[in-house]
Amino acid sequence: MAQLRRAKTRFDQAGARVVLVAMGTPAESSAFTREHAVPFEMVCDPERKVYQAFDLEQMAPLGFLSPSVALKGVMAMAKGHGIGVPVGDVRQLPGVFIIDSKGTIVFSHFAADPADNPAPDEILAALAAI
Amino acid sequence: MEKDHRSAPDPIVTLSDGAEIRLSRLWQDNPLVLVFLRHFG
Repeated sequence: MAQLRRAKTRFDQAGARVVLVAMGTPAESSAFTREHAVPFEMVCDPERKVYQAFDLEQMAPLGFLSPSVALKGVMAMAKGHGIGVPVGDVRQLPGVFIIDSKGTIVFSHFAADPADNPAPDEILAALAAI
Repeated sequence: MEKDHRSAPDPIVTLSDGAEIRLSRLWQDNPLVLVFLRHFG
């Protein structure tokens, strides 16, 4: 999220609209955007119907026990990302899709784990290619 | 990121201000980067 926020100007310059999809209700999502100064619009999907429509899967139940996921969690905590009460399904995997103005998904990223997100540079490079 | 060529789903979605729109409204004018987050917290 912080990386995306810092890259907003570059996304604007690329002519792209960035919209987040989250599992909170409108009230929860509004609170989140206020608390974290999120400069993007947000779609609220507490029942994960939009996640499912885009074929985003859930992590296997034992996925949290994998060393790579545990390590990423420790690194996030070391950077000051605390553990709060989760809002949404903790097993839901994230993803990123670039959709052109004709409604075609031109690039996609299906996360292998909850911390597997493409860097803004990678997203911007994909945007430049369309 | 991997290349893809599928048509995007177009459900009715709810924005954080409570408004309901077709998802396609979001890509009509500009390419859309749709970022699905993991859980909050």
